[in-house]
Amino acid sequence: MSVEQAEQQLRELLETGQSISGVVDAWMERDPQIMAIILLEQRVVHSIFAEHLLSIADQLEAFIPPEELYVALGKQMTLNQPDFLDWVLEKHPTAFWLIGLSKELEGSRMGYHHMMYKHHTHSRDLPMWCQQYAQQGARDGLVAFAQDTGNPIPAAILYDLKDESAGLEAAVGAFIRNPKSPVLEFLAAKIGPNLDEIVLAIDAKLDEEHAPRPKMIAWWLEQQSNG
Amino acid sequence: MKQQVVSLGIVGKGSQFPFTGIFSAQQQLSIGKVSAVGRIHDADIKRDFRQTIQCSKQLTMLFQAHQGSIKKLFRSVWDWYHDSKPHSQIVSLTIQVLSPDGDLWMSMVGTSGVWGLLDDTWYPLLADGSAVLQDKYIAEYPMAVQVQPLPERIVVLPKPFQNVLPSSIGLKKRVLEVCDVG
Repeated sequence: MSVEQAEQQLRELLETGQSISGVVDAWMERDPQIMAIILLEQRVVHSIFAEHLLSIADQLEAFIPPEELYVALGKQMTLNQPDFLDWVLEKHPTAFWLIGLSKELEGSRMGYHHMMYKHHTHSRDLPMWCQQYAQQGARDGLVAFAQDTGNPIPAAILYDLKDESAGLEAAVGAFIRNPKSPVLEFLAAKIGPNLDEIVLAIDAKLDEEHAPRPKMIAWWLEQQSNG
Repeated sequence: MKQQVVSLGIVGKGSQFPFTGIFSAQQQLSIGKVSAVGRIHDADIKRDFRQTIQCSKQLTMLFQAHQGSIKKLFRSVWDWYHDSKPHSQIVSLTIQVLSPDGDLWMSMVGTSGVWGLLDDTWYPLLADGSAVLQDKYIAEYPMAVQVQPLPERIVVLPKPFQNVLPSSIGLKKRVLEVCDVG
């Protein structure tokens, strides 16, 4: 059977509301490359097709590289992408291709979902992943993560990578979400104790946003004025 | 003539947050460029933050208020160190003064090694058995050493780290350098 014939048969079954499991399972047994081509070239995009492929992901992984497989599946799962990403993260929690998957599916918010997942599961490797995403160019997703959780780590990592603009946004966002966020503590641990200019910039930006001055910023400024 | 610069750095731990517990200060004084770097071993990012920052600020203030010789400065710093250091912590501190004449003086406590970079080559400034690295005191104060010839960079390994210079990647990621104050 050619790929075109298989594609046609699959379309007809889906359009008439019939089960696809029989034919898909048969192709998987006889000629799994047919399924690989239909999926990777996105020849059929349908939620039932996607759900079924998800249920046989382990089999598909045997002959499709996981990053390509999950990017293709992710494109099929447009309505349930957050759940899909959670599912992949649980299945492959340490795979570095997750960064490429996130880039493909989340675009400019790359890293956001993975960071949220790490945050909710209290993962100790969150800083390592944040660093990896930042090094691969993630900015908006990491800033949004800081803004939504108050987590101080994106600010520290972005400043360390010399992206002062994104670092400032992440620091201010974290403080607005949680005025007790240990932003200065993590900045000092990441880039060193000479933070006067950064603290002044954060304070000015918080003032612009009409946000209250966090206690740690007030303490820092007090130390400076005493000096 | 532009005064020479010898950057002073300290090695932090090999982790995502290498500079936890590290403090530093620098000032241009009449006796020369004064730099200091130190590290509180086993510091916690959050718990020891204020103490670490206060060490930087207090050293800066001490430098700013100083009048007198290099020897007097060293003594003031060590008096401050002994007054402020909690008994339960390993605290490393190195002070460096580069005089306008180009003489480089150092004094240190809690250091396992000091390395200099000259002509792209790192070499130990003090031998492993050096009395300075063993924290021996003279007249109740840590010794001062003069470094010759002048290296371009100096990197300090604080105790309890071993006296082994990190790889070139480690030197990039784990060394906090005091900025030039020229």
